[in-house]
Amino acid sequence: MKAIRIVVADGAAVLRAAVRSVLDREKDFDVVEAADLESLHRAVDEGLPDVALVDLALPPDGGIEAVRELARRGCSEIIVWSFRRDRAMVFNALRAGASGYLHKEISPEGLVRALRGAARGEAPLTRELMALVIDAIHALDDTRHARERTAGLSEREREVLSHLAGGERNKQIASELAISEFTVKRHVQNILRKLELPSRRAAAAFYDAALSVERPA
Amino acid sequence: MRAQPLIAVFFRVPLLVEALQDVLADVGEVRAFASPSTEPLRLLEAFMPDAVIVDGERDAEAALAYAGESNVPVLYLPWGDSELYAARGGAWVPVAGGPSPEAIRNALVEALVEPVS
Repeated sequence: MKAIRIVVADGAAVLRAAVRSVLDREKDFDVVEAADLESLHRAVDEGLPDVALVDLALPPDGGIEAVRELARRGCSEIIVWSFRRDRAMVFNALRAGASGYLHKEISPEGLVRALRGAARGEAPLTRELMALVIDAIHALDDTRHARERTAGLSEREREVLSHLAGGERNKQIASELAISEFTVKRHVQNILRKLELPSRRAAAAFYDAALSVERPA
Repeated sequence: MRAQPLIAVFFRVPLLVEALQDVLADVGEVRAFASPSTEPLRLLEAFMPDAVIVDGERDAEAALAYAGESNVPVLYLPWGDSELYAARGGAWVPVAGGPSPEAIRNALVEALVEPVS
C-alpha cells in the first residue's frame, strides 16, 4: 500500500513533532516537516504531497500565501489549521484554495481521521466550522439581496443612507454633503419609500446588517 | 518515594501530550489533564507532581502559584507565542531554546537535577 505523503507546515516545533508522532504510529503516512514557507517550498520541490497541513500563521507571512502557492503548484488537498475559528479566517483559507480547515485543539484521533479523509478527497471541516461557513454564505446572500434592493437608490441616496447608518441627524448630513437640510429630508423619505422601511432607525439597521457586513477578502 | 518523577501536563491542545510523551519517556512518568480543569491548583496539590507543564492561561496561573508553594519546575507554553517560559520567583521567565520538545525536555531535566529556588 502506498503511504500517504503529508507535509506538515507549521512554525511550532511542538506541533510538528506531535503530528509526526501521531502519524508515525499509523504506519501508512509519510511525514515531511516544514517550519516556514521556504522549507515548505523545498518539501514540495521534492514531491507533491497527497495532503498539506498548513498553519494559518506559517512564518514568515502567514499560511494563506502558502495555500495559494500550493494550489498553483497542483496540490489539491490543502488543509489549513489554526487556533483561530472566526468566519473570515475560515473563508479566506477556503477561498485561497484550502479544501479543509481544522482547529488545533483537535484530538489525535480526529486529526488522523481528517487527514485520511483528505487523502481520499474529503473536505475536513468540523461541525462548528461548517456552521460558520454556512453563516458566511447566508451573510453573502443577505448582502446580495440588500444590494438588489438598493439598486433603485440614486448615488446621493446611497450616500445619505450610509450617513444615516452612522446615526447622523439631517443637519449634520446636510453640512457634510453640502446640500440643504430640506434636500436631505427628501432623500431620507425617498430611501424609506424605495426600501419599504418604516423609519430612519430601520434604514440604519438595514445598512448595518446587510450592506456593511464584513465580506471575506 | 516515587521511582521516577511525576510530570503533570495540563493541556488545552491534546497534541501537546503527543509531542511530549516520547521525549519525556526517560525523564519521568507523564500524567495528562485536559483543560480547563475545574480546580487546577487543588489537583496539583493532590497529585503533588515533581514537574508541571501547562499550555493554557488559567492553568498557568494555578501552576505559577503551585511553583511558589512547592519549589518544583513549572513550564508554560502559550500557543501563538514563540517562547517557552519557566516559573521563577512568582513570574514567567523565557527559557533558552524556545518552545520545542527538546527544549522542554532539557529545561525539565536541568530543573529536576537542580530544583528552582
